[in-house]
Amino acid sequence: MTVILVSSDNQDFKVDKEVAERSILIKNMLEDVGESDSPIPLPNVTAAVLTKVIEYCEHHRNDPVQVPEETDDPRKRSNDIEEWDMKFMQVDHEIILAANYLDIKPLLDVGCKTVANIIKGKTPEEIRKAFNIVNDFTPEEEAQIKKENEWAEDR
Amino acid sequence: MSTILDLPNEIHIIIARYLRTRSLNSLLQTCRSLYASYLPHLWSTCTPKNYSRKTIIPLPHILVHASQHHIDSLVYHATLTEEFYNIVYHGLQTLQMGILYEDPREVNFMVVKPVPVKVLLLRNHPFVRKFVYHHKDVLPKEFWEVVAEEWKGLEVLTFSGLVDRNQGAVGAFWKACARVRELSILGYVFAVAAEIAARRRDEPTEGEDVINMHRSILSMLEFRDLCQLKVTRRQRWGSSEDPQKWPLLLLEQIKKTSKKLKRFEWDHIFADSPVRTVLEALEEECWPELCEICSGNAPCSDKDMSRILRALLTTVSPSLSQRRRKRRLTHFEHSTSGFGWLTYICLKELYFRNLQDLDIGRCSAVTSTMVLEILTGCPHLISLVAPYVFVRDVAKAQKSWVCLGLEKLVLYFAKQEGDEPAWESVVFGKIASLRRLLKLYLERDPHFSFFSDEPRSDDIMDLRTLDFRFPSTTTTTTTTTTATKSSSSKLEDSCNNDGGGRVGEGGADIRCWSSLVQLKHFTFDHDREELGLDELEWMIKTWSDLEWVSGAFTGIVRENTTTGRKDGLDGNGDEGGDEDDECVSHRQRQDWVWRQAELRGLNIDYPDTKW
Repeated sequence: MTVILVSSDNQDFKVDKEVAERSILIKNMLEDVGESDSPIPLPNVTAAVLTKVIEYCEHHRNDPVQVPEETDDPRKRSNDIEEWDMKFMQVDHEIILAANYLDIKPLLDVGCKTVANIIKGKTPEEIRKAFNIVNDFTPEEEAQIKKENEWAEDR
Repeated sequence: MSTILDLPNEIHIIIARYLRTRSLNSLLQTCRSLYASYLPHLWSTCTPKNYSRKTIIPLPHILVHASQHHIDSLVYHATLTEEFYNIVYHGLQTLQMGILYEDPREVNFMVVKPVPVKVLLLRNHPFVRKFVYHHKDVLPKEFWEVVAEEWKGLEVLTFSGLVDRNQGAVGAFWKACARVRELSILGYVFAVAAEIAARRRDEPTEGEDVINMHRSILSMLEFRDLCQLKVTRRQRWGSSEDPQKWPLLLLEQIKKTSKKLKRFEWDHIFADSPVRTVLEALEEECWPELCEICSGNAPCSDKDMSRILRALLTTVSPSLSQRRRKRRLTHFEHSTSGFGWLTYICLKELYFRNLQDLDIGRCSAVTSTMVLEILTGCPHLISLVAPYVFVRDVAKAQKSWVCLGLEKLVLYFAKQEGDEPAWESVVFGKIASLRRLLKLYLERDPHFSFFSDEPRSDDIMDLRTLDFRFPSTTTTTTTTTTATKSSSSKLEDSCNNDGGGRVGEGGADIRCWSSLVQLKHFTFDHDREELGLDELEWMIKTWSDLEWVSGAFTGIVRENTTTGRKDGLDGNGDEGGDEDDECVSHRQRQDWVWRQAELRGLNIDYPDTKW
């Protein structure tokens, strides 16, 4: 069974229901609507981003859905992990935003972890460079913050 | 294109979870918006006096006070000055009173705060959910009354301090214990305040009257919410605490009143073995949820343990609404000579399909064959601690490893005389397939013999292990990293293509493990194996989550000059005086390694003799 997803720029995507339901948002929508062929509008996701998200969901279609409490069966998890995800992510904050909106927790986690990995091991200046951040502190403020949090250098 | 600045706060919260203090600190210095987003996370866990790194100077009390609203988890070491006890933290959920890392150089070493100060601290924080107490003063009734009555949301209690042994204090203490979900009592905890004052550590006497006091108090209580129970000595090994009688009384009351017990951990502290009580509880269907059993180094015979494991499997009905089912065993820890064939057969026949955590690393009866059967028979294993396995057995095994979800592996891979080099490569490939690994410890005796009842046998101790150094051509000459990389990618391919990939003429090395992208801890045998700059550099580049690496490294000198600050822990690190001879590129790469370690908070740990 397939469903049709419509991106914010009005592009249609035909996707297996099982794949689309990796998104908890869509899953809940489908449950609410019941049997229906009407397309699902996703006004917060562009076609470019939706393409990537669907690619992710296709790749992970057979993963067990994460259950908060373990059931009778001990937890099962996919074995091919991360490597594919890591390459997939690159740095795209829009995917993180989409994962958040569509409620795809594993994708959100991988995305956040990728960002964290970029931050790790860098000085403030290097982080600014990596993310194109403009330093909007005055030199005095900067010195003040550095001094205030000096304790954190050692920990 | 959006940037990190456009992310909503709920996403910053997730990112912050993956970052440690240093990185958070760098991040919030970049701009105003990120400062606002990440400052609370920098403070959420606060240890005013942190002993784990270089300094023991506490944070200024004023600063902690000013940041109190961000702090939800707090660690107070015993030597903090009294002014800290007056701060009120509005969002505090976790309170830990630690005693670890005492430093005799400190003036107020072992000076314990007066109890009223602590009672006030408790009273000021009624929303604490998790309480850990290790200070060594004798706590009276008033203290425990706050915990038992004013802390409505308490869920976790870990205690290794002392409770005044009078009716009121003991009563309030047990009442507090009966309210929690997770209870850990470490060491004997009942003492008489006056006795402690007279002799520093008295031998707690448990007369008949004391036993009766415990019995009558406990019999009034219900441990309805209790899921996890740990009653052990304060330290796992090497401490000489006398076994006590109250643990069994506690267990018997829990047997009567708890329906939810999931995990039970015990050891020598039980004067009377809990085996009978546990067996009765299991047979009478008392603890339908029980699935985690840890018997430290309790004297529990092979036969007794196998009886417990068999009784565990009885059919139970968790509640009236749920259908009857059999109990499972997901976590098993055993560390004495008690482990033997009977226990092993029970595990294998009944629980291989359930087991998630298995720790039998200190059991001398564990054989290479058993370990191999575990690796090829337990599909849901997440953590495995076992003594050793022969490289030969792994290479010749018919079945493949099924435990591909392993996150922690502590195991010595032992090479015997006459092993073929290709067998070693098979082992490399098998480990490479464990892509979820977070912790990999490959020492032949990770502190075990020292503390164990039974030292590991010399037969194993003398055997060599996997050689994961780069081939010597790359280590002796200073190859550029790009060259190393191209040669390594071929190796990785050959290792990764199939789980048990074979590389000709035993050419596998540590680069086979580039698939272990989540690795955080890596340790190897420091007196058997020496790695160099090439390998260390490779590890730092490949394993981006690496936090701790331990073993022996040669040809690497720690520079103290880069930061202009003395490195407290490694004070005499720069004694190797002949760095001048080293070529510039080596120096640069070395600097890069230390800088990375510093920035990422990576701990590179190797014995002093190697400096």
